[in-house]
Amino acid sequence: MPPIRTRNKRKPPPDGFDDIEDTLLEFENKMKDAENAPHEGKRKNEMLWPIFQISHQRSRYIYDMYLKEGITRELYDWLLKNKYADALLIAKWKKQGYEKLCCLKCIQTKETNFGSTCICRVPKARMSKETVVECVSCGCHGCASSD
Amino acid sequence: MSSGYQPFAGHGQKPAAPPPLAPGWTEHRAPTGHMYYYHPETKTSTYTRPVAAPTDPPVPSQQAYPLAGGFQNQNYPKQFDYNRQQRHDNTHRRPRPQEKPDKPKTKRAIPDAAPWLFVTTKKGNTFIHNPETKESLWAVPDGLKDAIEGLEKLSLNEERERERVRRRQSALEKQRQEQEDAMADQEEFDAADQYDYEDEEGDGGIEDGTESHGIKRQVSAAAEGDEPEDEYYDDEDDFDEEHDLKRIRMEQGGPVEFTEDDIDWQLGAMAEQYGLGEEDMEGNEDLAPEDGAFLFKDLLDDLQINPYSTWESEMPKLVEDGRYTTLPTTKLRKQVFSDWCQERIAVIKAEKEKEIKKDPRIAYLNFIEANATPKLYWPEFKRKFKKEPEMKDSKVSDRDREKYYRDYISRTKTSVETRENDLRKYLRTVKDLTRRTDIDNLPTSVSCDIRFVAVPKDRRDSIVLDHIRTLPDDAGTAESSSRDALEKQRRALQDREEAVRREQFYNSKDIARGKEALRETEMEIKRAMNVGKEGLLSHLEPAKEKDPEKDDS
Repeated sequence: MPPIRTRNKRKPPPDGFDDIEDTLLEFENKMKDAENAPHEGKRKNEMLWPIFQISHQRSRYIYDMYLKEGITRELYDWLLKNKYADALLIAKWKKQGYEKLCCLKCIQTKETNFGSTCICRVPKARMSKETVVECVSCGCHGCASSD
Repeated sequence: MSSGYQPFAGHGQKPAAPPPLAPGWTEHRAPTGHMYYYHPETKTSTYTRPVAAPTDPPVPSQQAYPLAGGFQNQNYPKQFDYNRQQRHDNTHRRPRPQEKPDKPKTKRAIPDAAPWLFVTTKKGNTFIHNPETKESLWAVPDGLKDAIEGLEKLSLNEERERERVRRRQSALEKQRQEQEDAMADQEEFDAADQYDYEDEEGDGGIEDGTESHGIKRQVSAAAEGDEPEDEYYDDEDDFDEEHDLKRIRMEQGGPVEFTEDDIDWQLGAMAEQYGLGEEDMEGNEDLAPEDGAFLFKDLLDDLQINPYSTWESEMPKLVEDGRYTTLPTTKLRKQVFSDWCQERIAVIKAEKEKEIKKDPRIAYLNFIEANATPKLYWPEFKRKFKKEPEMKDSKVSDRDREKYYRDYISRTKTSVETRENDLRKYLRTVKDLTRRTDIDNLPTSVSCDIRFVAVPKDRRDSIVLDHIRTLPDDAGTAESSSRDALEKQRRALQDREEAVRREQFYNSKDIARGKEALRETEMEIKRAMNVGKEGLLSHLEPAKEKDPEKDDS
């Protein structure tokens, strides 16, 4: 059995982790709550939405902190390595047109019947005004860059 | 009309037991529930109870503000105009508010004349009022004239100031107002229509035997629309007019919708009550976006928001504050928040860099000193204080913590003397200490040693001080050591310079050699390019000749 690396036994994280630790803990607790929330009355699709949302928020938070220079490159890499943020999602945010992407599932065209992206990728300007979008995969209301 | 009129007339009257009517007058109840009085001979009606002077009925005998000159003729008696009233009687309709009754708009204290107030009405008329004696005068008594002139000058200045403020309002603001006006007009039309309709119904419902004229209703639907509405819109004050309408409807128990104008009006009234000018009410809207952002950042500073946090978690703390609304949209607020975070983080970073780095173990050891007891084993101690920042600090490993704790506990079980002796022994072995060492800034080799920590604070300081004093050659050693250090530095510099010189020499040689090689190859290439009439053979021949030569050499 591999050794269990608890918070106190592992190698200390890079400098500056203390600053963001509280917020990360908050996200962790939120995630735990979302995982333990009852699924009664929810649709099959809806069950995973909060998980996607929280993971998105946390990734966004870490990426923002990095852009604001609140955390060092070293710490940022450490966080990505330790899966505090979704590196693949952040990689997409760096591409033009994907700045607000909600989740990777929504741009996976191979999984849709017509080989298209998710409805939440459609800009608001292209849809009629009253249409309320709630995408199936993560409950996103629209994540086009122009929105 | 009734409601519009009431507050004005209501000041002086409302007697507890009404005195008997003057001869010739009859009392009636209007559909709205108000009492009014009619004189069949003069064909005049009035709301005020004619008591004292039955012979001059049109002018109400008693008024809140004794009217002076033009004002009286201007608005007041109009409502009792004979012809108009006649027409109303004919159509058997409730008299409509032809003209807004005048109301006091602003009150200002007159300087040097204590109880007197200078009141301006909505229509621009002015009078003076004494709230103590409840006296109101249109004409200014001689004693107050000078004071009022001074006041008017003052108010002129203020007026100018306000004008300037108003001019500053943006074009957008104006546009918005225009839109609102358009909307208000629209609503007014609707409301008026509705009003007519309700009116008809109401009259039909309430009509009873008290009507002494007995004139039958001959109102056709066509006649309905023609007369009142024209006069209606001639009115200068549309908003208030509409508001009166609403109030009438409310009194009738009809459904009332509150429109934006109602709310505006109410806000205005509240502002007046609190002595706010119009400018104060619109203060926030006039703010330039930069000012708004500045105020918002000020708010963030004041509440000591954590810049490492997210907008979602910090937002609830901000909402309560008034400055939260200085920015119009949440999107903007979020953006300003993010900007502020960036600035703040930069500031915090700079501060941290300036700060002297302290060994994280020192804080932990201090914590142990304060909290450790032999009664708690390490796991218990750890569980008890797991929330403390010293216990969470990731810079100190858990193993170190445990080791320190166990050591400390085992040492506290021994007597103080042995601990002191241990410390003395240890200090003799330490080489970082000098005569000049400050007691507050001991090297980590001392301050982070368990033998140092285990001795109670008051004792150990004196021990360390004693030891420092016994250190040999105070100034001399320090100077000599510094001289040694200088010498060492100088020698190191020399060595380094020598090394660099040697390096440079070799480098230059390398470069020269490289250049030579390059030149040679170039020459060879040139020779190779130089092909004569014999073709490539000429190259082969000399090569053959050369090769044996080379071999020889």
